[in-house]
Amino acid sequence: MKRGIFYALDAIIAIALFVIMVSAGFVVLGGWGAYSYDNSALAVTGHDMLTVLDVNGTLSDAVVNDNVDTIKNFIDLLPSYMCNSILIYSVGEPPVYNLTRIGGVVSEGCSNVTAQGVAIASRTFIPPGKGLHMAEAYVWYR
Amino acid sequence: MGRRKAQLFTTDLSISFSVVVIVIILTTLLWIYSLERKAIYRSQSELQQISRDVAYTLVDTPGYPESWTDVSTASAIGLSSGNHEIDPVKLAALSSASYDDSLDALGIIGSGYGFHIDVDVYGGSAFTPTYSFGGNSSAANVVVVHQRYALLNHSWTRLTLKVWQ
Repeated sequence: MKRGIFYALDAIIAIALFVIMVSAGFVVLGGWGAYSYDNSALAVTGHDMLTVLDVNGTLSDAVVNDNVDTIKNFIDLLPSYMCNSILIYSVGEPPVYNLTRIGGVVSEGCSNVTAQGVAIASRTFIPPGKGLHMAEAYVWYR
Repeated sequence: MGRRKAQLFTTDLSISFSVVVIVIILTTLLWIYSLERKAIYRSQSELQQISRDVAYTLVDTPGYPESWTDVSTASAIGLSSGNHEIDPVKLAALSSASYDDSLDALGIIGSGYGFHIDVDVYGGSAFTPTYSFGGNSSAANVVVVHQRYALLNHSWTRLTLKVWQ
């Protein structure tokens, strides 16, 4: 009786170890081929967004007209697998340069920045008749 | 009693032999699988690097010579006319160039590599397809897609570059 139990335990342990080894192998190998979405691609997108919006005057218009709808239109055109947020600040006078947030938009369905893999880009600009401003872009995978 | 013991050993032997065979087969399959995954991963990494470099050259540089007009004689193809503005004349020249000339000029060199570029311009409510040129990726093993945003004639423009092998 006892000997039989001993053999059964042996078999159970051996099978369990075998299953663990095979599973671990698949888990490790499964990670190898995963497409590596790195932050540099997100950072490039953030940089592109701010440059495009600045160069064609969208950022300045948003500050002058106190309306961020056009920026919202733009970020809603971006791929749905990524979330984007753009925040606009007025930059205070030297020497303190206090940042005061004056507006912001975020992609539809993306309420919070996820801590994992967020890329941040920033750009300063001067709207006509206004002082120095800064836009910050946060880009992350949904 | 003795016969029973012999039978037990035979059963033991059969089971253990089967287990060993299964382990060897599974290990071999895992090894083959891992080699395939490694090859795909390496190919993806190379394509990512190529697509990133090509997209950078297209959007952020004017190419060489800076005033190139013919893809077949240009050393490097860039479309930028400065500050994220795409030069419409250069874009038209690239879109009408031969596929082989474009591959060389874009620096996508190597056996089995291909590319396709889509340029979509914002038309008031959505991006409208404006240019689409290059090869067909339907038979490719690995495809990498890279998107950049720029301006064409002051309008928001999305440049989608596909590179494959």
